[in-house]
Amino acid sequence: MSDALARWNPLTPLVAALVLVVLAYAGPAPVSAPLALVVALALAWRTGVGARVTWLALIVGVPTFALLWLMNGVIAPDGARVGGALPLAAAARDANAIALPLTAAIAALGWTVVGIAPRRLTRALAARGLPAWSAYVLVASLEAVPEARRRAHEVLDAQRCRGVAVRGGVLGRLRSLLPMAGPLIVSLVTESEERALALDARGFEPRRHRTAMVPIEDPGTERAIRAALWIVLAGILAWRFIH
Amino acid sequence: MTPVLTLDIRRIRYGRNTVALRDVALELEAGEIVGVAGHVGAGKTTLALAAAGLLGRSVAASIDGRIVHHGGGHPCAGFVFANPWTQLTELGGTVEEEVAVGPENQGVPSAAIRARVDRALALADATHLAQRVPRDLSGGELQRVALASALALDAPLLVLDEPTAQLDPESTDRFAQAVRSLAASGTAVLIVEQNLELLLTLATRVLVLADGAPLATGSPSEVLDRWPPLDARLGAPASVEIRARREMRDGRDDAYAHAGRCAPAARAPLLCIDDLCAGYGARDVLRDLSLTIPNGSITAWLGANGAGKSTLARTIMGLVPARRGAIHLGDIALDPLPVEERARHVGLVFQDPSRQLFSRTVLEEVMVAPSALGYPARDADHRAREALEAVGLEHELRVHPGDLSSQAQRRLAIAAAMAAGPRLLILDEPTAGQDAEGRAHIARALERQRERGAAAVITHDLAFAHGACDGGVTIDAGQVSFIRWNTP
Amino acid sequence: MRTLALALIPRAVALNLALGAVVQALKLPVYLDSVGTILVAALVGPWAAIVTGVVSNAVLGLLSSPTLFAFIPVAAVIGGLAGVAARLGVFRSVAAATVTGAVIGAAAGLASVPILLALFGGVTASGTGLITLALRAMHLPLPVAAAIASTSTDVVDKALSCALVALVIARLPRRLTARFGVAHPG
Repeated sequence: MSDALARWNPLTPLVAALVLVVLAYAGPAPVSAPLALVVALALAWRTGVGARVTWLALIVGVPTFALLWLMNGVIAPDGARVGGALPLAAAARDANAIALPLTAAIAALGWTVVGIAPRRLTRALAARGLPAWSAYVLVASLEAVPEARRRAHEVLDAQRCRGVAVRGGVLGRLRSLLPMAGPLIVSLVTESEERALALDARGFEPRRHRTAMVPIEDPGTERAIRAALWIVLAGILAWRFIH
Repeated sequence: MTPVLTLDIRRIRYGRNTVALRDVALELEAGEIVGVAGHVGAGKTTLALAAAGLLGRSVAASIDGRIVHHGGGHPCAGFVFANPWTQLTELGGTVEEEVAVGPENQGVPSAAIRARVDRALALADATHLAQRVPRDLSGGELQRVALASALALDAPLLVLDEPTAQLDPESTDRFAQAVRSLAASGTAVLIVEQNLELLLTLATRVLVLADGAPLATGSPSEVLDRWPPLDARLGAPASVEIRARREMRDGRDDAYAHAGRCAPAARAPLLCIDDLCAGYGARDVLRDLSLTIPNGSITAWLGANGAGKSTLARTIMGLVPARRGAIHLGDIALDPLPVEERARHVGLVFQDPSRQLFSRTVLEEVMVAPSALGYPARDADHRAREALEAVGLEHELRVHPGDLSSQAQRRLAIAAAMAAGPRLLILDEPTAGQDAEGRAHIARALERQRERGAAAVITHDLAFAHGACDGGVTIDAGQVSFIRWNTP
Repeated sequence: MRTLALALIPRAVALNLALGAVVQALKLPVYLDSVGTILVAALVGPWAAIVTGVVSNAVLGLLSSPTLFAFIPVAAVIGGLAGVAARLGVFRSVAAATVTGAVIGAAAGLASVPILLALFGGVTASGTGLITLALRAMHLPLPVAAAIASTSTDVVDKALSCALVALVIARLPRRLTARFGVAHPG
């Protein structure tokens, strides 16, 4: 999580990222995608999450470019699209047309994913009317994942102690799937009963508005920035609609 | 005195015909602690849920009678239940956020929530945990967080359903202290407990339930005076348990001397561990541990949380690789064997049976191990029935494991391990949440295992260790610090 | 939504992400990353299953890479179809569940094709992507190659997932399935 981003209302960087994604895909052709990428990476580096975001963007962007170039230029060059130029250069151009906006979008979204704590984001969204049940589902899911992973390993251990094999032929391993996955599934379903009781005992109502011990601030300047960002977004879409 | 809760229950039923509770009339006043005792299935949890106003809302049940919460409010009571790990809402990323969930649901303004959270954390002895992440806490710490979360609702009534069932003695003491100071501040408390010593020392009034109806009620001393007839009904060795706990706490290690069983030192060794080192990642948990367990013995493995007891069991089983040292069982070197092979020789039962139960019937469940180990069907069936008889579940063959009480599920897991016919059986905290009858069954199963080899019990339950084991191995910081065999 | 169903969804999302550990330990060539979604479909219904699928992909996107946000619609398709199938009672029989799973897998595979084409140019750096490349080398048109590659893996995976859910539901205690309003088989 980024300390620099924690000073902002999470909605502001979220809307900024959205604008960058729209810019990358719908803005004027040669400049928009690289511009969106540069801005996204600059924001990420400014807010202290540059390395992770660059990495996220690269591990999607580079393989996508390479695979497309390989497919369109080497494995199955499509005659109609070459149009007189060298097939490899044309393929690179085509690959770039897909990979660059994708990389920019990943960088923009990656910036929010890496930089904003999901709990803060859901609380900010809840303050804007996101129903209590959907905030619960998202936050509790993030909480439940590490626990379920740990439990999966416990089940594997407990069943191996009873001689259920994890090695051998495919059929044998397939037969071990039920004893290995079954207790995990059953215990998670059983647990949801206790969790539901816990929610009820604490007076949780799926559709009622909840207050917050520490409300997320939303100063006027941030609201103004977001309004400006929405106008930019509408402008890009209008430009795309006209052209 | 201000009445907080009036209960006048004629009958509570789940489904069509099971009457879980009948003819209970109870009035709770501010600052009072009412304790509810009884065997497994006596209707204690039903009473707790009814008192908290959760029956019929979260749990489907039909109630014939009257439940009045004089303070009103939503929810009308704080509720803490046995499992420390599943009663948090997960809505809070830190302890204080989790404690704030209740007032946030109630729509309390921000500043007031902060005040309530701080007060609740202080009362529950959990202020120092405020910034911690709940899932990193121990069971004892989590239980105090659960208490604080219930308190933050600011309800005049607090209902506790076996809150110390999964805690070690020290955490239990701290929890009890928190409950006492809470009652002193005016909250009415209804506590359901299996731990009779705790119940009798904590409660100002005791209600004993049996088979869904009240059996006795009165002050702890009145109930204690009438204990012999109650004892016959409940089978609870309260006096022995209390004595053993006191002696252990006071540092008198001769508590074991009462057991009156012969030290089996003269017998041949079964498990021989030499200079064992093992751990997780870069961390060493076992440090040059050596231990010999004689054939035909039942030992208790004692020691603080994190001392390495469970890691020792997991290393013997092969789940944690040994970095150094040797483990022999009789003349078999266990070290080169994979877990699935060791399962023929060593049985390990984990604390939580829900990690392994998935069959449609009890019998099928216990046949998993012998079938997986390649025994023919008839042989597997025979072994399974024998193991079920050892833990007292021979009449439940066709029952669904999920429909058993959690106590019976633990015994089922023990039977499931015994059915493989291991020479060494290791049980991790088998008596947690067991009533007197369950403990007697486990003690009998251990005696059965003694004939086949040896058994070891990882436990905090000193009364059980004292009554059912030949001696204790104390493990401290990854080494055996102390072995004591009971003298005749 | 009732609290019980609500409390199940995060567990199901976690299941989608945790079964990878089991698959890995058993070295099986499948993902089983929709078992939780299908489980909710069978126990609760289509809407809850769609929520489970959507949140699973969102959480996976948060924990690993935003790329996975793009496939949220596919997860919703799986949840919706499995929920409708559950209303028809297919999870009462393992055979019916397996066949349904294959159909759901095919639908999920097809649903991912437009996303693959529009955002990734038809290939991703995965096993499926390599199959697409191989099919392109055999001069199949790109949309066909992408469709074959993604459906072939999904058909097997969802068939096995649905079979597993049917087997597990038959093993849940009746008391529990009754609370979810599921008629118990047999």
